[in-house]
Amino acid sequence: MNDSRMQSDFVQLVLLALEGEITPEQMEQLDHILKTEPGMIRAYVNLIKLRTELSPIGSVEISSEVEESADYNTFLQLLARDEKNAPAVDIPQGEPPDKVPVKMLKIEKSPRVINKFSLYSALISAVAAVVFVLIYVNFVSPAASSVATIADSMNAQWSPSEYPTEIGQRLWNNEKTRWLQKGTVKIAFDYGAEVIVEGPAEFELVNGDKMILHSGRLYATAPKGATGFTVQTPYSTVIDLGTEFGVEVDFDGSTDVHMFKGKASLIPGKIGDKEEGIDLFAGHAKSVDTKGQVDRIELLETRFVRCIDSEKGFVWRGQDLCLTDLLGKGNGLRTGIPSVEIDPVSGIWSDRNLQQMGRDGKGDYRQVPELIFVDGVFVPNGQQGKVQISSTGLEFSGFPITCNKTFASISTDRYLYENNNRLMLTIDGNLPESILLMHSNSGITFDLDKLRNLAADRSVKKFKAGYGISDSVIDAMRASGLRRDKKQPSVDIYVLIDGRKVKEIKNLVYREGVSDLEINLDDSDRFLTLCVTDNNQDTEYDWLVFEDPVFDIE
Amino acid sequence: MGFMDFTEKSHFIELYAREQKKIFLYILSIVHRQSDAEDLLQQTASEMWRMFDRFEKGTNFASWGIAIAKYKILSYRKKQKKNRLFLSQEVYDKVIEELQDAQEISDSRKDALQGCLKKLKASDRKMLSMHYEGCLSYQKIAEQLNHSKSGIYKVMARIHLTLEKCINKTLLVWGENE
Repeated sequence: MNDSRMQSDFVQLVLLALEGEITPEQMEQLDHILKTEPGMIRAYVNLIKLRTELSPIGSVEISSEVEESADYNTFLQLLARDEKNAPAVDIPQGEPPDKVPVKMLKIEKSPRVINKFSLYSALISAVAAVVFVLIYVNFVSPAASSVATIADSMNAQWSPSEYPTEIGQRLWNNEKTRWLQKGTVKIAFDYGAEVIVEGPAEFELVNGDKMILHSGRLYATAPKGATGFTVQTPYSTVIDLGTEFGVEVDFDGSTDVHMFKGKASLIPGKIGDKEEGIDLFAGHAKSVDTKGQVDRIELLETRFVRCIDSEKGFVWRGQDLCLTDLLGKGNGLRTGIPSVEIDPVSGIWSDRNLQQMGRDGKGDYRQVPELIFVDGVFVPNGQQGKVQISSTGLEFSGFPITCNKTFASISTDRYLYENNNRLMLTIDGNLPESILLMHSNSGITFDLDKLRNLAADRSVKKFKAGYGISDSVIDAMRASGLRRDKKQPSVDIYVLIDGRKVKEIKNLVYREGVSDLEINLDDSDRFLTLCVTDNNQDTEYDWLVFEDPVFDIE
Repeated sequence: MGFMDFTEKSHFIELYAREQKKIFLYILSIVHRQSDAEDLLQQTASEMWRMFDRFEKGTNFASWGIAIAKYKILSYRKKQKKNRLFLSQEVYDKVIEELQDAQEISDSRKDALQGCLKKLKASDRKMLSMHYEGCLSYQKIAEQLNHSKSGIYKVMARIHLTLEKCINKTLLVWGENE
């Protein structure tokens, strides 16, 4: 094998690596060459330099007007001839490397990612052009320009009413102060930041990445490209450094700033006061009074409207989404029907008491058409072997053998009807804000994709709930003359994600106190299944209650 | 926006435009997959802008950028851990040493390259243009020219070697050999 062949093979290996088409075996070959052959590290670095220079970042001109009009057939002929008669090429690196057995290169197929570099270089040029224009504009009276767009709006009322209120309307910076009397509006600034203003609020738009908040409340989201977005208030200036933050200005001009993500710079004082900026990090909040005094304050997680979606009627302040509200056809923010039931045997949803008594499971999976984000329900019985737990056919084979009966529906009602008695469901002596009763044997699967869509495509990070057997069983048993030492309700709980068991609680009996359940969720997870089975082939008084079940979204 | 903000931004852009090649050279040498290196450069640039207030004026902007890039690369490598598509640490250490010792991409080298490009055969220059200016992958070039991809790799390897030889000879003549 001659040296020029080895050099060509070496360069081909490097080109394969640069194109992302190198195999692990070829990478090992390349590594061996670079480790053992003198001069090859320099050859590698020179190739990388050459590559950099030829890339758009290097800004050399490769083609000329001659090539632009080149006849393709002529080009192909030249190419074919060159490939056949390729001359040996030397790299003047000193002593030629020892012969290294380089195997025949096998080119693997690999999709090429669209080159973002041209776009990025264009962006740099555009930003430079913008800077030039901004510098130029600084020396002349700034002309009016449109700087932002109304991206969304919910129940917004403006004053005076001739201000644009329609979604998609462009906003100009030459208008006097805008007064949003009520409702919320989402404004997308031209340089990338988005702001949700909550009425009543008074504000001005200065340019594509700056606004003034005279009074009221806003929440700003500035993605990476919009770093530097500025909110000015009567006695402070907040400059975003890649973050999400809320700003509230009181009637006297004092300002509270709450940082939820990333970092910002808070400059106290009016414009012209030469004060130093204070770094503000996520999880912290500060207030600035009319004298420029800065104090630490408590971060208020749900103070600001962080997301609106007028199509879905979704206004989110950072709260968890309440599962029972979702089961009541709400959006998780207490908009739904408070007491509903789902029959795990038939899949019927009702806002009335279904008054179901003991029934046998039918061994099938039932969808719940009334609810978008509930995929379906079922009665688990391990005797079947594999039990279907999703509409897509996912199955789980880890359920125990049960008596195949269920008693009462899956319910968000605070009351249970027992022998014509209406019993309030408490847990550890408390009446939770929201409750999900799952009597054995029942299972329910939630479609997290539908939930994400419901929540304006935000991430669902966790499912959280307290759980335990309701202490109302004690009253019920006493009323029916049963002694606790003769009868001990006990259940098993299963939590599945996409058919995979992520939590199993065996032989849960009635006891004081509430246990915590916290299930982490990933954006790729689709189905969350909760299932309660009888522990001892007996469903009597298996009143398993989930206390305040919520989805944590961000 | 105040005038000081404009000055700050234009200063950053001026420094970055001047030094981005060095930072990219470093990233590409370690990451060597061009598309990933471009992404990492973007991430590094964003981080540099975010932290620009911490940059000590008058110090080496490229070194500062490379220090930030190192963290981005570390994070990238952790995510890519399952692939075996990295060189050994021993090789990376030598590459970094070579990057520090070797002359940076000077204007002379760029001029030499420009001259060498003009000396290339039209077909060679066309091939380079299709890839670097037309952003066509080797696969796409192979499809367009009705050639095998391995053939395109061979031709491109020859062209790169030719250019490298030409640059070295040119710099030797100019008395600026690397």
